[in-house]
Amino acid sequence: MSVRGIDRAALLGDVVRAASWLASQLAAARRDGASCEVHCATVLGLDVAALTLRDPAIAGTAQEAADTFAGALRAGGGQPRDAVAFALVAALHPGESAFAPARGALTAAAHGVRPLEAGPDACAQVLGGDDAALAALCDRIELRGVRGNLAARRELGLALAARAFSAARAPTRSAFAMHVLRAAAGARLDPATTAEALAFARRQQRVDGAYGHLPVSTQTAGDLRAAFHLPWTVAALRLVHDALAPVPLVRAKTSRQPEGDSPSARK
Amino acid sequence: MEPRTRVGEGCWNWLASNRAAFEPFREDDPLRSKRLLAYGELTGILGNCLRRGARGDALGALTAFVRAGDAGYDWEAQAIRSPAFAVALAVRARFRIAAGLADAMPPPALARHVALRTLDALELAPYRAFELEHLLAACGLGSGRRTRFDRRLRDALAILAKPPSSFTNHDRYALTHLVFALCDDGTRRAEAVAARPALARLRWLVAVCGRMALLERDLDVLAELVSCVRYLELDEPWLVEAAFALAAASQDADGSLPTFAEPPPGDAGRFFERYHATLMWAHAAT
Repeated sequence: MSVRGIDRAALLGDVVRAASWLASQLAAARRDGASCEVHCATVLGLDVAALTLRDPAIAGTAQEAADTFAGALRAGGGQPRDAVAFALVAALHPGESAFAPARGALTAAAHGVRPLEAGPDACAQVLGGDDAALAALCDRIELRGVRGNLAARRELGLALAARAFSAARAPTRSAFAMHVLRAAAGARLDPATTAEALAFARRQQRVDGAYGHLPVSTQTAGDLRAAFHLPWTVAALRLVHDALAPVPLVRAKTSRQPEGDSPSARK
Repeated sequence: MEPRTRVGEGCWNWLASNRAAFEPFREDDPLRSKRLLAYGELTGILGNCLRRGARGDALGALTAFVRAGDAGYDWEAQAIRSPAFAVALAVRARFRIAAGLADAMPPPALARHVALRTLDALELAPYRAFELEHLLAACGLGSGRRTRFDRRLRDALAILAKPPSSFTNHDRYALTHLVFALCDDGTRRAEAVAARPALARLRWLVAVCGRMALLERDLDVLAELVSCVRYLELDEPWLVEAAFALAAASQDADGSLPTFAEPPPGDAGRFFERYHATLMWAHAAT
């Protein structure tokens, strides 16, 4: 899909740089050890980059990252706190037994969930709910999509954009903002919002390929990079993927297609 | 009573009741410069509303009050002393035409500044520079300045080329003032002077920034954005209704609305904490 006003080639170039940064993070994680959280995010980021670019080499790196993550889990490294990310990784690597606890979590989460009806109530929920309620609403949009006419969908898109850009005033909430923008972009609610969301992500990319910035005076090494840049990078990559792919990654992984198929086949 | 009507009537009545506080002509007034600014804003908004055909007791009282300022101040002398005062002079000239007090002749001091190009040397924020070009054109002094008008518009749009999360308070007012000037305060279609892609982005920004202001309960800029919605002819019934509902719920019993969520430091009094938002909501409702 093309996004009006966005240079697709430049966007894909960003993804290549981000994948390169993630590969360097994988090397560092192997060398120095890392938490399950970091492993899980690294795998997911590389997988999303590989799907977006349809790049077998990056897919191979993602598989290596998944093997490392699985090894850490088997060694008793605990469980990632981000259940959705873990479930996505499990869905993207169906043959890996170490991810079994997370397998099926997405399908279970989608069970009984209905598409969101765009309209005044949904807009009021978006603008009035707390962060947790909004995150749940965005998950629902990603899982099941949005119903409504063009005007109501645009209205919902604008409400999501307002909430996201308001949150993004605080640097520590940019990953949350990208989640909200991803839901809007993935549901094709408003072309201008999608273009602005992608431009917002593009502006966050660092020279090394990671996304995001640290609070002033913070050291730029070790766990802090993982704590700040890694979630931002994965969030940005997922936003780019869902804006370009026919359906959001989460929905693709809960649909009836055979496990392991690319969720984002594109010409 | 509908929120829009209640907000409008309450605001106009408060402004009329408090019109003496806008009076900027007492030399010994320590708040004179603040009052002069407020008086200029009142003059501009009144002129806009009169040009769009608004009438009423409160508007009549305020019009008479501003008209009385003709005798209270040597406007031309101030414009000769300070070229930056050209903006106030142009706003006043437009008010006088709208109120039926003058024909379309530009003020001589303004024409002199244009002829001598002194206004081109002013250091103004891009949106202010565009506003000035718009005002000069509106005062009949735009001849030969079309290239400048287009360049100023480009410069004003350029500072908005960033995500709304990066907008400062200044940027949000730059957006609203740019729209006001583009649309000649609701009497011109923006398409007449701006290209479609630029307008598409302005429309998106107004729609999103309006919702952000609603979310952040920033009443002052919300009022200006509601006026932008109308001027750009956006189909935004939900936003406008929600904005007026918030304004009605925030309106004081005396009809005024607070400009700031937190009053700024210093004790300039209740009038200065409320006049701007009250004026802007009166404008938005009219």
